[in-house]
Amino acid sequence: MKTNKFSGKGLLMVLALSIVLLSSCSDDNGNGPSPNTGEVMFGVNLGIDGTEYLVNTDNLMEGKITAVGRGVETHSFGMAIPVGKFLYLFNGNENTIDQMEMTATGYVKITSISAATILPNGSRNVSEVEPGKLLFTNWPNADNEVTYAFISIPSFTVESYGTFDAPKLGNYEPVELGGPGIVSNNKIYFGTMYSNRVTWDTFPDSLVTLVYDYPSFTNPTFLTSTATLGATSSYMPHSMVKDEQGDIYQVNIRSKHWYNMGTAEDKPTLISKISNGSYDDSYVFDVSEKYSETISLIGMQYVGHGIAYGRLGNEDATNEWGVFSNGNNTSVVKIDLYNKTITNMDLPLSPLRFGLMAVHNGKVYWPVAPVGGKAHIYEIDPSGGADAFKEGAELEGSNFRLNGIYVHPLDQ
Amino acid sequence: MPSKFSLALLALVFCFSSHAIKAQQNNFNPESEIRGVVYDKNGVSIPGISVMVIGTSKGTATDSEGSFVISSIKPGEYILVVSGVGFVKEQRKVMIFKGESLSLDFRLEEDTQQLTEVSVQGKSIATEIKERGFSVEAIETKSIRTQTVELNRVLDRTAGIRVRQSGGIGSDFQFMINGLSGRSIRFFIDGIPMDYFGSSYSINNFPVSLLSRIEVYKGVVPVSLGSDALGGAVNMVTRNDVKDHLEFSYSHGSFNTHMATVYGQWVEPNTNFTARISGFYNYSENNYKVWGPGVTFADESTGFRPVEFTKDNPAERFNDDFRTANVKADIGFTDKKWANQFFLGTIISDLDRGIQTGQTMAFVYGDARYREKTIIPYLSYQKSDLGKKGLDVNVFSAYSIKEGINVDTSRNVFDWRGEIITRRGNGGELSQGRGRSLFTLFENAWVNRVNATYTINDKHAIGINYVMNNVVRNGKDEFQPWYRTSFLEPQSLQTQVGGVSWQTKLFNDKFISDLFAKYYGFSAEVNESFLTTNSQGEQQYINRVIDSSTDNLGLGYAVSYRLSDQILLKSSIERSTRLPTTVETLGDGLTIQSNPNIRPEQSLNFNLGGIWKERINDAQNLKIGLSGFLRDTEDLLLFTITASNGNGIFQNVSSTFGKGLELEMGFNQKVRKHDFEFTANSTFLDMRNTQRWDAENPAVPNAVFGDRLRNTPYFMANAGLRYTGEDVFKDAGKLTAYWQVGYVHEFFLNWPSLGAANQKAVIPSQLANDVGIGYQFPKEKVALAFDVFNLFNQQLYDNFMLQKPGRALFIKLTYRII
Repeated sequence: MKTNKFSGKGLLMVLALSIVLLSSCSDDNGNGPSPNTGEVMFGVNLGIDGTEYLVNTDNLMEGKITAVGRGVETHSFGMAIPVGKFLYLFNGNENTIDQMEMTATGYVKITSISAATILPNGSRNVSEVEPGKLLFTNWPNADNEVTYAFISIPSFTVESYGTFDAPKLGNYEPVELGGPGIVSNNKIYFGTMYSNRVTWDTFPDSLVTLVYDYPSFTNPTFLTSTATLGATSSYMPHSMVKDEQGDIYQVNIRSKHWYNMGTAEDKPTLISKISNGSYDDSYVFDVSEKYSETISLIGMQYVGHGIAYGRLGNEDATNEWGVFSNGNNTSVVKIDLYNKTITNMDLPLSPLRFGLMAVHNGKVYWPVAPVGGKAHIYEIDPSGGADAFKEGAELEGSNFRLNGIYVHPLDQ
Repeated sequence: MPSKFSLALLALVFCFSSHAIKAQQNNFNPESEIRGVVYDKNGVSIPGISVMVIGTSKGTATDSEGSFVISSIKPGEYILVVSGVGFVKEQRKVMIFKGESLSLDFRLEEDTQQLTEVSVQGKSIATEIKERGFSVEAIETKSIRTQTVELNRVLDRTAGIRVRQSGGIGSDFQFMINGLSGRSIRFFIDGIPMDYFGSSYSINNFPVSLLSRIEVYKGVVPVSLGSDALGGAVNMVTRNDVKDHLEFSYSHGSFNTHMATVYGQWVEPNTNFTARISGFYNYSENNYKVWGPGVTFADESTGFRPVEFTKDNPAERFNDDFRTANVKADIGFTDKKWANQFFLGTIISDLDRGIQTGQTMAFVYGDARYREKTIIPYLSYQKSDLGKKGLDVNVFSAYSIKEGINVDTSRNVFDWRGEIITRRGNGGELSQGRGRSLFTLFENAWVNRVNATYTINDKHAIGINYVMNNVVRNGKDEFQPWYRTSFLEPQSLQTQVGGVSWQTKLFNDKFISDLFAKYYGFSAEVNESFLTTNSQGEQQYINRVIDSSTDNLGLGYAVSYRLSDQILLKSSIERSTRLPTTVETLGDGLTIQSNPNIRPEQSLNFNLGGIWKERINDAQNLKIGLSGFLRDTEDLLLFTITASNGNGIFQNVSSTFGKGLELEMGFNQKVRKHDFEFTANSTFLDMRNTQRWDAENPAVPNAVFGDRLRNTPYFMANAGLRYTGEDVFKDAGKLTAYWQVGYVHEFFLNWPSLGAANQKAVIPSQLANDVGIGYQFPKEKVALAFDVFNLFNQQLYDNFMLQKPGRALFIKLTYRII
């Protein structure tokens, strides 16, 4: 926005008054720090009161991370993905998708694509479905249509866009589609939440994954598994992850606090596997049976070699979503997908937060903001156990919500 | 519901009719009365003129339209003395007979020697209001009625007030008084809360021509305005002439804008049967030019890169048309023994407007509309000295029937070229994918107000005020499924605000104080569809009733002291409460979640100020006013966005402490029949977040503790030069001209301390210049005015990425038939 300039010579009196009064009311607009340049710079997305600040740091382990006086202000609601030195994110003020470049001094906006035509209802998922190609998709609308857009990077050009249908399943409709979408062998797999739009009853018989031919979004087929029920459509954190072999691991959200999961409430939290185009019935990782209390696993972040991390909620602690999400009721867990083990990290319990965490040089960087304590980023060593972590940088002001930590190799 | 209403109305009419007849019977006596109107030499009626009957205790002051009535005079010969500041006193001998109603008009000559004298006699109502301890602005509209000036614009020029508009005529607005805004500020018309009068009765739309004056109370609000106003109140006082009158005005200007008003009254001289009508019609295409951030287009030819429109190649708004028509008609009696005024009336209004943008101009709509129809039958009764001398009573009762329709049925997606660039499968521009909607809200409200003041003697008066509102809402949507339709089951809401006050005048009226207490009561009964599991384990929706009620007390004190003829000191303090609204408590069923744990917002408001008026010489006067204020607000109710589509929840998120300073000055220079007036004011606000610890995590500091409030303008200044020439071109012809400048310093959309200053969303500084010239022909029959707003065609913003109109020209004709 441009600032208007004074006009008219007869306004000297107003000007004088303005100058006198304004001399005592300057704002606190500090300049951003000048971090040491290195081969990697981290971006941290701090949210407060619906606004986000993209700040940069080259060190997640020391000092304080703050948006006071620094950072790029944006409204993306975490709808962002880092690829190389760029961050691609939704700009909710201008209804655009922006390409931001991480530099030695922070993010700089390079260019934008208008979302008005290609994603008229916004976007709920973004993923790099194949090298150099981003896929943005929204949840199905009331007519069960899904809008999508492919964007080539780093040229940042619209490759194609349009809509495809998400079929109903009996009387149940696809109210969510995401996970995010994972491409494997010319197919794209979406986690789903099939519900009755009136009662929000979850599809009562099975897990449902929707598969299309890729990239045409034709020939939709259902994959189902009766191992459990629930939603598999979470983008942030992910409901679905893909390992080095191309197998997809999928966790179901069946929390009683999550919409009205209804019939899923007494079903277990499971991790399932999709391999060679179908659910692998020989693989079931029953997470619930590992705990005496009722739990739910709110998504995963894949690290490598069968190790993922997730956030586990204690459902017995409370009956209300507000208390569940704002009290110290979730813990960080290490999940060994291959050996079907789960380990509660000895990190402080904290409220539920959604966000994308970072994996860099084989280490995981995860923020924990407990009620009653200071918020820190922790560096977790996937090769270790419950105590294999170090306390890192402090997040200044716990009313910041950390929506994501983005890793940017500056030479890519 | 209509039958209930009819019965209630009939009961009230019967009640008052019976009382009136009885009063007429009981009060009939052979005493007489003198009535009339006081004019200046140009035939303009003068309010606030003292009319005394020498040798008796009888006397009064003329009302806002210059009229007076002195009743209960015994037959005989008297001398009437008519006097007022700035006018030569006039005495007239009169003879009055038994039972006679003597009608006398006076025409006073101006007395320039007196112009700046401060007197307890002959003050206008506005002056009287200003001299009480409240921090108040009272704006007489008489001098601006002939201009094409919107009420918003008039108020915006006042110290401490900021009106933030999202667009042109009829657009959404946010009103701020000394840093507090939103629901903290309440609006009244003749002391009646405007909440249920429909969108036509709004300060972004209501014509100045139909008003007598506007009162703006800052922070501390008197008992007579019964509402839970936390940050201040605006009371619009409509014209209330007591003689035959008929005038109309018509204004035409930029953006194909047409505005017409009519105002008339007829009094049958024998019975005092009175008929009044006022009405207005506003239409504007609001198709002004916009450019800059968010005003873009993109398609394959641009690679979907957004291309901004520029000042040299701007876009034109294309779905922002606004039309409203409003008629208010009354019949009743004036100046009867049993009532000073008794009226039955009806307000009928109709509104239709396009919705051009979403939260910012980046979201552009081409088909979305809002329509509203309102009908409000009402009665009003006003009586001085009811049963006892000094007891004045006002009663008002209205039943409002409102139907508002949000039309969001389009599948089209538009850009700023006005072109359809794509289509949404299930439609809905505003709902962003939730599907098409044609939502109708039915609201029936019964508003009752009783106000009484009893003047015990020259020094003391007590007052009571009670306002009760009962509201029932229903909703339907022809496109959305029932489970997504708000207010499908009726909701009811009742608010009660009562107050008592005690006014004291001491030391020859140098000291005036108002001590008052208020009661706030709120109860809601909401029917909500609730998903539950039955005994068979099946999930089903059932209806449940949620009762919510709360009450609170407030206390305040306002005092003024006239230190000398030149200096008046004022101070006021109030502990006030604002109750959460139904939407804030229970959501809207669509985009706002419920928060049953929400608490009332509370504020301790304190004002201190002084006015210095100096008569420099016979031709020059100077006035300087300085005031400061403190606002300590707890549990501020704030909408917090929690989802990417703008959905959110109202929360008690923070406590704030604010202080501020207002400076006003006026200088008047008279050169024979030419009057030059310079006015200026500036306001500086320092509103800070004082929540030291995070609301959700009390162990750690709040990151924005001490920060200036986000999205709140904090420095504003206005300056104006006005010329009034008497006997210009012709005898008794009056020429006026003005130049008005308004400045608002830039402010941040979000917390100022966060983010790099050059990377933040900012609402830029704005400097707006308005000029105008008008001529009133002799006898005040015809007036012609020409106004130019935003003279230099600046790109002005009140809100982030929502551009206001550029240069606009208007011409207005006012014609008084009677």
